[in-house]
Amino acid sequence: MSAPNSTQAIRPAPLKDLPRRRGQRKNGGWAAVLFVAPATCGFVLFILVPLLLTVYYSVTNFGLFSPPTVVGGENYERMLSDPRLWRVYLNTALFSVLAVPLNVGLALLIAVGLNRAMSARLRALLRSAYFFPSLVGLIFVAIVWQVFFQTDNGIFNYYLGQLGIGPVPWLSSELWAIPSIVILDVWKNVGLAALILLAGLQGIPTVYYEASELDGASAWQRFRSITVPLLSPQIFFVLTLYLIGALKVFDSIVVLTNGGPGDASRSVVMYIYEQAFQSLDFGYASAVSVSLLLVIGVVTLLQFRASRRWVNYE
Amino acid sequence: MLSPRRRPSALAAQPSGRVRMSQLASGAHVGPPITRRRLLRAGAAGVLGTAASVLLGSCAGGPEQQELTVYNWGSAAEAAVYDAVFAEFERERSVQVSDNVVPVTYWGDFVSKLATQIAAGISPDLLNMSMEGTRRSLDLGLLTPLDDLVTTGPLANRLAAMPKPLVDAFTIDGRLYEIPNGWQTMAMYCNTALFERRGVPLPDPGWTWDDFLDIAQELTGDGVMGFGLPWGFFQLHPWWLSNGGYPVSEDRSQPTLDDDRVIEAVGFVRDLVHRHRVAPDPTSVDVYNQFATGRFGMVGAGRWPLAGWSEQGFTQYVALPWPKRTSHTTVVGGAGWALATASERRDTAWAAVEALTARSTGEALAAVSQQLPVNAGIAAGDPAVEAATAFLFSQLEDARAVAAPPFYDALEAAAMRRLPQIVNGQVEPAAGLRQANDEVVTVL
Repeated sequence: MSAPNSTQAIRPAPLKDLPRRRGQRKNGGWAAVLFVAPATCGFVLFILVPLLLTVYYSVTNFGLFSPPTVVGGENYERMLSDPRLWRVYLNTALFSVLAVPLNVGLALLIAVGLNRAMSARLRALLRSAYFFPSLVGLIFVAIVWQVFFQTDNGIFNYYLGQLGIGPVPWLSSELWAIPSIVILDVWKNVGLAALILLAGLQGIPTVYYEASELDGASAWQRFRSITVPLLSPQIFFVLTLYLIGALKVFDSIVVLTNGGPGDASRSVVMYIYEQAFQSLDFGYASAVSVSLLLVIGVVTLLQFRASRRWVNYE
Repeated sequence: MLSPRRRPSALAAQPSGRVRMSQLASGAHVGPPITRRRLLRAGAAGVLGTAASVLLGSCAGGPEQQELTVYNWGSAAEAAVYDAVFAEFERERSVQVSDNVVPVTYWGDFVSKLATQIAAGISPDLLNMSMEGTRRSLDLGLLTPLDDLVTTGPLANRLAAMPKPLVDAFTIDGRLYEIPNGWQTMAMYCNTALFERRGVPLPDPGWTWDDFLDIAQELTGDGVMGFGLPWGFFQLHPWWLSNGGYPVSEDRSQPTLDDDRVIEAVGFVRDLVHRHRVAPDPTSVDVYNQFATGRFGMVGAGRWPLAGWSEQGFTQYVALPWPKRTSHTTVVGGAGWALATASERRDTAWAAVEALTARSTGEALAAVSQQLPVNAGIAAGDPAVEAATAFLFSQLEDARAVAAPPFYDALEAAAMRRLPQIVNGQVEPAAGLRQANDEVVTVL
């Protein structure tokens, strides 16, 4: 009989051979249950139950002061013939299409800029400056930006007027309402995305850049072939985060345009809020919520599928 | 590799009581080894201890103190006055008052928030409800009639001394639902210093829309605009009222936003902004501050900006009747104290109403309030405020209550969705108002 080799010598004993203690469960044990219980309770109470209730209310007529009565697919039929709903979906899509690429694209540029050789103090200063808007309460930001955006006395129009342009009716025209909100959104949120991407950039080993420089790669080639592939997990994370955020946009619209003029900047979530908490039509609001849940689910699924082609986790 | 369950802790590997210096330096735990069983026991003891202390805390403490919940609104200065009144009330009645001051963007929204709160089982006892929200609140079953309570006691006398149109506005189908606590009419304020500087005589009190436009055009120029258009459903009322229009039917059962007189009034307002350019895009301008700084020659308002102007030391203004198309009719609004249907502490709530409507409270509010006091003759301090307040009081003779049907939330929301499009020239007044009217009808 030959002696066991070194690999066999350090292999742990199979679990089934370990002595089982009193009260210990076969798979996992009570400790594991206790550790996951708070998160599970939170998920069930604040996500799963409301989600199931929303689905139920979506097939009811529920006016808050009377018990919900089941009406089948009536709310969903109403959605199909609600022109305001189509408008708010279009607005939300337009906001997402503008805000997400601008946020991520600008954040990438800022992160690459901050990752260049500079004094640590200057980098900290710039990083704080870009991140600072994320820390300011949206209400304060909106009050200030409303002054910027004023048609007749606004700062933007003052400087545009010096160039012979305008005045641009930033908040009161159907054309400019959503771009104005996007400008505010990007100003406020680009710093956080830049911070995430900068952390990713600082994790890329410099050896790749040094090797590529020796091979004569240009700055653009290094960015395209090293930075973007190695930063792709962080870019994907930021894209997913910001896209879901854009589809749920609410607060910046409420404080800046309140959805107007007309419905020109009203988002789906704002419409849901108004139907539920202003018109007290919880049945219809739930049906729209379910439709938004499906849209976000499908968009996120497509995003994850597409990520297989360009996100590099190596 | 060891199973995580079997991996010993760093400290458990040491003989009991002996700890390496490196562990001390790293802040590692010093003492008996931490085993999973010890951790679970400690956790269970903690949970039981917390539960026991909560239980004991709820059992101890003697008789439960009554709590009165108020659903309120107002400025920070008004809230401070209410706080003082409630503090005194708490001392006298051994009651704890929870005064929830809710921000108001739209009155429809204010009522909806209240309704949602009550539906969730959290009912306030006492409500500060505006005229705009009264019929809607009543429609939702949130208000209780007060007729039996006002037959005797101090409220009976106070109510008799209040302006009758106010009390009537809160009397629906012969039953009183609110005790008025403040009110508004609207007038046109002129910046007298600016008029003087521009050499423009102050308008005659019998002025018309055409006179108003001429004066606004004379004042406009060199960074000044003739008129600061205040933006809101209430604030637009004097325009259609002075043209004989009203945005709901007489019985308040249907919207009439598409009434020709309303359309004509909105068209005039649109022209002020879009065609004559004597007023700015109103949707994002703080007209009252800019009026005080001399950027606007005229502004329409009730009493609400007066306290702010007084604070800024701005006194060079005069209040005039609204310019007429067919009459000088202006709008009247207001608010009152109501008892919630779901309240279980109505006696205490009613006692609070008595404290809140006392003359001393009215005097404390007069200097800071956005509203007109319910009793004439309460001094506000600042002579400019006094003069404007007296003028606003006089407007009650030719004022009509704000259009506040039970579907006020839908009416206000639809109107304020379409009016910005109209006033900025994106939609014709007739088309926009018909669309708004149709939207309200659809909701009904």
